[in-house]
Amino acid sequence: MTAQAFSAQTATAIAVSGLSAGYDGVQVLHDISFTLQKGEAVALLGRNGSGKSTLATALFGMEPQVSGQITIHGADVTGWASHRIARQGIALVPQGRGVFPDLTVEENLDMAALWSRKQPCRSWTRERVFDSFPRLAERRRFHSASLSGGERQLLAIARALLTQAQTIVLDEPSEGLSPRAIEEVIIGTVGQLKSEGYTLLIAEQNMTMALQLAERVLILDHGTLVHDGGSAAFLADEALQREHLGL
Amino acid sequence: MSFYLVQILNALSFSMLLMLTGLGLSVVLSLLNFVNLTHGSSFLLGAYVSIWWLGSGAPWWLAFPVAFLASALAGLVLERFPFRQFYTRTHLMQVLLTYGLSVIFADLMRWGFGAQIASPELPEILSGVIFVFDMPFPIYRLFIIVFGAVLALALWFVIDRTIWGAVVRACVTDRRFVETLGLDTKRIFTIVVAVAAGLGGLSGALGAGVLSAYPGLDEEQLILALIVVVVGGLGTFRGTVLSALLLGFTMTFTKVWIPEMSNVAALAIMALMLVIAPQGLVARKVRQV
Repeated sequence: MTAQAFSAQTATAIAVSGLSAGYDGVQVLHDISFTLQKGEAVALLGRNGSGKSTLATALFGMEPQVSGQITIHGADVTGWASHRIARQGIALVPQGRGVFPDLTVEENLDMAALWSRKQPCRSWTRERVFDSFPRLAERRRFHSASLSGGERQLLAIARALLTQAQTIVLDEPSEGLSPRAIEEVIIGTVGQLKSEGYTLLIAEQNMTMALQLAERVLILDHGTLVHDGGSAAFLADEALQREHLGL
Repeated sequence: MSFYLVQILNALSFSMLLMLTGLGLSVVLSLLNFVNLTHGSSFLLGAYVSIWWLGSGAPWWLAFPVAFLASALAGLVLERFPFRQFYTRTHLMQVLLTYGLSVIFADLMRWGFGAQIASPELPEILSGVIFVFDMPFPIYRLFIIVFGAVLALALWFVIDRTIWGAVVRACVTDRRFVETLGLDTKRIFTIVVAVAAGLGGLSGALGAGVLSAYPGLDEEQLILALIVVVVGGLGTFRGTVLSALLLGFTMTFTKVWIPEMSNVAALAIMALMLVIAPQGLVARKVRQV
């Protein structure tokens, strides 16, 4: 079943209800509930240590879950192994890029296309990636450890696309990037994905950047979801920004 | 002159066995961080299976794939239970588990294959000697060198040049991110453990022609494989190859000059390496993710 087929079944991309998660006996997320409609771009904001990354990885079953339910493209994936969740059409662009440094650009991409290689209609192929991102094509035989920060981010995004996912979770995509790379890779490429109808959840410290892409804002404070609303209203509410983001 | 040439060939054939045994242990340790002390049992099982096969009158060359399959199958079963339950436990717990299992397997094999030294009936094509200048050299050892080299090359190709090799290398870096790409790493681990055990069995089958098979060979081979891995460094194919050559040559030439010191020399190299370069001959690049 392709990602497109999933999206036909339901208008909801991600539905989280009553999610609590943690590790080493410490609870990091407390009773989180929210939904992302298909095609929405949502910013997940919060101070350092507020639980953004934990929430991003918890969606992929990578964190020990205490309670709650996660639904991805209509399927209840609570307790599933990460690879099965990924096959529901959701992809992660991990914090720090998470590309494999010992592997070449090509190998990183081929790996991402591996599970879906037998699917009849794939919207992304290696050729399309190289057409769309010529910089990756130039460096296809380079080890990804030798790429610049922006190129690695691009590779991580391309990898997510090659899994044929329709929903992409980006964990701190702007972290450690130069303003120019943020402009090109994040605003440019991710903005393009948004206009193509991808569902995006962007966990970010860089509020200005996130709000350029997102129309809705979720705020985490000490592992609790304290705000869920439109970007414009959030931008106007300075008291809210001060209280939960320390701005 | 020809005496030394023959010793060099001896050292090479011994190095090949060390390398094949060490590779299986090394890949499981670097991929799963799992200490598998039943690797010597895989070696001995492969040796017994090939000896039994060669005595059965069936086509001789099938003895090697059959030994590989027998040990791989045993590895497959063990991976499901109980190895898998111990991947996240401490190394001490893994050592206790797999050492215990290796003792059980030693007894089972003694019961099944007997306690006497068993040697294979080599086919005519592999028996006899060739003359290197004027010194005789067993054809079988030449076979080990060629077979080992071809196998090592094939393994290198799979690990370094194919997409499945890339997946395994990526799992060494971070299996959780491999999972988010939709790949079932549990299944990948099962396959790797089975292939590693199979390689142990294959080296046993190859080694039986020179070492024979007897109770206790499992432990001897396990210790050597551990030394190869420690000296070579984890997660590097090149390191395992270099370390097997270093140990093979050292042990062979010590045997020539001071025979009783051969094991001492191997262990001395390991102790020295642990002191001066604990990460091994070829250190893996530090993770940069």
